[in-house]
Amino acid sequence: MDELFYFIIAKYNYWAALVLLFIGLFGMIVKNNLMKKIIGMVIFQTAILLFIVSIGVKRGATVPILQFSPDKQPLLDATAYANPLPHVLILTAIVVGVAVLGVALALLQKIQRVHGTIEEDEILEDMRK
Amino acid sequence: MTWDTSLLWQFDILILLMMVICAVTALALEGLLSSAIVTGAYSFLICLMWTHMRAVDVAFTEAAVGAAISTVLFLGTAQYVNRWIKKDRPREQGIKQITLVIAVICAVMMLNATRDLPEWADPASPASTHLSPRYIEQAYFETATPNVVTAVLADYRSYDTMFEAVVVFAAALVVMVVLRRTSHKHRMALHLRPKRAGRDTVLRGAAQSIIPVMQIFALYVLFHGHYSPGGGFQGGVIFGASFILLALCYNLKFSMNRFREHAVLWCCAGGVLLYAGIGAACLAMGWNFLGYGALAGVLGVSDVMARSHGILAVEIGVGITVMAVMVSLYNDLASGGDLEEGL
Repeated sequence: MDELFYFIIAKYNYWAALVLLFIGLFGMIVKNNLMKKIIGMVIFQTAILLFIVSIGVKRGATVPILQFSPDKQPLLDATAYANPLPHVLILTAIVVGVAVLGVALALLQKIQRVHGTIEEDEILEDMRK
Repeated sequence: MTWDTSLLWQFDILILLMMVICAVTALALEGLLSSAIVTGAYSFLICLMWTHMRAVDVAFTEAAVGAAISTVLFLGTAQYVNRWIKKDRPREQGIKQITLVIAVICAVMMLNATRDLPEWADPASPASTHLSPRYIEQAYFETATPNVVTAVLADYRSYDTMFEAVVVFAAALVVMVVLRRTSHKHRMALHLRPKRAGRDTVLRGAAQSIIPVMQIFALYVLFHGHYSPGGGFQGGVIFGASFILLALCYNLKFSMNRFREHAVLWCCAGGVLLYAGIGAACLAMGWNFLGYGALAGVLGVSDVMARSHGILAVEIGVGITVMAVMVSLYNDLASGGDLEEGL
């Protein structure tokens, strides 16, 4: 019983990231409405970000901002701070993510203007005409 | 095997479950407006998750970008399209089921592969034992910056950050190119925009008292990024959000009188130029591109302090670009490109 418990709590973050990854991918493939596809893309993206930050978590570690002893010396124990590298990568990825979202929504508005709809099958019918 | 109780796994599992529910709901709802709101809620939940995983800088960015700006951009676009999605036809139901089966098979295979991943939160995992200890142990002596995330972002990986700023800048240009040229035939879509009637005294009063505080806070976040969570990206987004709030509570014309189109474009380009210019200045003085140690002679400080000041300078560049790009994205997307009226 204990082993099963440790198996679950040792991996649950990765599982959640994978479940979200497939929910997002499923939305991107199956949904007919382009706005829903973009929401699927956002979920897909955050799932990947969740996975990468999960890699940098350390048990018993604090935020990666150095703490100082009373005599102004930094406390430099690498196991006491979370891994800063995934945080840097994800921080910039989130801002780039909103830029990508902006471009996607701009294209969506353009499609609406040209075809009068954002439903995939209606756009295809409109293009065949 | 011991388990550290400071990472409350029950709490984690609860948040992750709520995230999965939000993700499914956002995709399943029929109204696009409600989908956008649920996506915002999803962002807040993942923000809690970041905080809990000790990624405070990431949580800060997510709260400003994912929960605030993304939701506004979704709502701004939703006013130009049909807000209710069409019901699927029976033929598509079949495709849906096949895709679901394939997705579940792939998911099971990948879940099986997680057995090979290092245990979650293991301090001895490969990701935490090679490069990152060096950053944590050396960053303060090399850059005089206690926030290791800021030091890595703007010093060790500053090329990366510079091109992220370029990508954000390019996105603003693309949105402009796509939306600005609206032919007469296609202007019809813009008539879907609801007319804003009257003025809302409560909203305007609230905006008047919140916006100055927001802007000062944004500057604090930017300049205090060396010592606390924050930096150019977060400060820039909050500053941009203050202009978006102004446009939401008054109207787009009003906010564009305060922060004109020309100024927005100059800021978009100026931030990237400031960043690249500092890199080029270092190169001109015989150091590497973005080797801030070169600035020591000019500023009259030690090499280590010069790197700290260099980080601040490029963070200001990033902040200016991100601020202007967020305002530009809102202006274009919420007005459909004609800059007449926003959300």
